[in-house]
Amino acid sequence: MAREIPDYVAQYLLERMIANLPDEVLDVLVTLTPEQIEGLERLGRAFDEAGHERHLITFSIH
Amino acid sequence: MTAPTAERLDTTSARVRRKLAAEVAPLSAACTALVEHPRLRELWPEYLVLQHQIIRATVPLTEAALERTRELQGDPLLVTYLEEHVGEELNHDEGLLGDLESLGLARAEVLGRMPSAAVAALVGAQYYWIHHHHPVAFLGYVALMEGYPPTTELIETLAARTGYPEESFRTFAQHAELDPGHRDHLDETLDALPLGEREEAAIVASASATAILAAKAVSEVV
Repeated sequence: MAREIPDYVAQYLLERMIANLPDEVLDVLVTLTPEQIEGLERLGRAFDEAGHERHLITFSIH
Repeated sequence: MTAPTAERLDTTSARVRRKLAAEVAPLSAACTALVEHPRLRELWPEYLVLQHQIIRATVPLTEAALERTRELQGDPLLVTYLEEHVGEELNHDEGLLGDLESLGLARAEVLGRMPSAAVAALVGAQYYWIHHHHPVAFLGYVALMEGYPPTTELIETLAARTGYPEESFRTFAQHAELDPGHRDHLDETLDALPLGEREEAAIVASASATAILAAKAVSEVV
């Protein structure tokens, strides 16, 4: 079923270029207030400005 | 002489690697979560038990693929690769049991644990495809499993974060050294085999399923 996504949440997802979110995460995001979304944006910008990039590790032995 | 770029990218091995790159994210997430876990010291032996449960099947799986390839009078190059692969993988499970012993886990305890459904699905899918489709599919499993060998830096990180002794990482260190060569051996074989579309699709599907099921198995430890 289509979910109602507030404009400020949609704008946040667009600006952060976030796609393919799990439903469980989107369920939480749509309940956040504009102020809480602003907090997430500030956090994301801080990570960007710090040059932080999550470094994924992949390994397997055989 | 190195082949032109476009030519190198349009090989079976390149296509299989590209597919794996697109499918490996869940395994990367699970591996990263393990390495960064605040209780890594506690989880590491559990991860090694899981790896042993997977690795103990490598030689029997390769032998099953070899036997089936011979039955089907398959390509001699595939027969040769599988024969050599048995030699490459022999006794790795024993080495891992030794690593676990150095962490205080007795062999009998490790061998007595029932592997999860995720491990059975990961390895079992290969037996199914070998016996009921075509043994060439097994090459997709090898492509994932040998495609991401641990690095020396990772082993140093793991030793520092767990506080475990160097000898408990012997199998990891061995794979850091050997698996890049084994990966090249597989890629050369993939590119030399006269594969049709169906065979290549089977390898790609097997590699993709292996990435998904390996991620599930590792994520159950974290």
